[in-house]
Amino acid sequence: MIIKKTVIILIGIIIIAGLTAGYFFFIKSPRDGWTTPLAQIGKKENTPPPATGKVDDTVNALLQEIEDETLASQEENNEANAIIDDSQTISDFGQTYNENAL
Amino acid sequence: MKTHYKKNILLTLGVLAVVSLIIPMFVSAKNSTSLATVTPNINAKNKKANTVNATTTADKIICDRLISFSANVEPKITGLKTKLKEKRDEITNKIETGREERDDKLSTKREQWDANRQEQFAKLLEHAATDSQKQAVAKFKNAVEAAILARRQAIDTAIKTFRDGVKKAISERKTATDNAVKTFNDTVATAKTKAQDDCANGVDPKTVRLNYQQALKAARDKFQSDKKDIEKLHGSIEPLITAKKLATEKAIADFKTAVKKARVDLKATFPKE
Repeated sequence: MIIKKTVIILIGIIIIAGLTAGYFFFIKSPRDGWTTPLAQIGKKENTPPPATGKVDDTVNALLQEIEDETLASQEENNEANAIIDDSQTISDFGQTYNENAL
Repeated sequence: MKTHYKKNILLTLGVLAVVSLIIPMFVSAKNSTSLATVTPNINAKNKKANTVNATTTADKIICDRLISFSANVEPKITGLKTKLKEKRDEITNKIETGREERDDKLSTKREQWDANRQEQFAKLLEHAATDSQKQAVAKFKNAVEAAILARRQAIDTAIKTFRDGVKKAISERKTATDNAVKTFNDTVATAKTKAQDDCANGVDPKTVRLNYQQALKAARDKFQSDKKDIEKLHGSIEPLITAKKLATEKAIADFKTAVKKARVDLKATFPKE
């Protein structure tokens, strides 16, 4: 009974640790200053569907292209983060000395 | 008579012996007195000289330390200027590379969709049995092509406007940063020169040090205040993102409206599916 409980607790801890690590790896951590757009995470590539000759299928195929256009527009936002990549270096100028050490 | 003469000689010798013993004692006492008086004077003079020497040495140490301190600051600022330039180049490369990659990706995607769309139109045409149905497909195709062109142009314009805004923001940030760094650098250099001059001109080193410390603190405070203003410039990006988002949403909404109408028109003449 105690062993069963221990195993369940261990599995629980492993699942929580895995979810936390996944969250930080895929969502929170910037890669070289670039963040992964949320829209891209866990999504398959948007590929054009085969033609069937049906009006509704054709219209759906046309509308499906919108996804790529929206994503392209969203991905531009990465530049907003890149602009301030020099922030730390700028701040460092204020740390070049400690006048109280004189 | 002979005895009296003998006594006189002995008395004279005795007096001489006593005098010879007493005189050196007086002389010695006098000498001792004059030494006791002179020695403190000499000691005082030496002490004063030592104090002057000590003060001069301490002053020199302070001034040397100021010069050494400032000599260490200059290379750090120069190093950071180089690092800042490298960082900027890195940012520029990232942005340019990112733009090229996204442009290529979008262009490739659009080509795929263009090819697929022609297949979709061809299949529709295969299903068109009458001339009016074929005309309806042709009309649908024209309407869709026009809507796609309008949507792509609107999105391209939204992206270009955003990129131009980012470019402007980068330029403004660079100018503001360069100004802040220059002011900081100049203030630090001026403070150093003043400290050196003051030391050379015999200003009390403690005063020189205090003035130098205050000048350096003021330079840093000003820089940190400028840095805050620089970060505020990033606020101009958020409206750009919002404007792009709204323009993209409008382009898509317009496209959907156009496609919806084209669909209704086509469905009116096309066989039931």
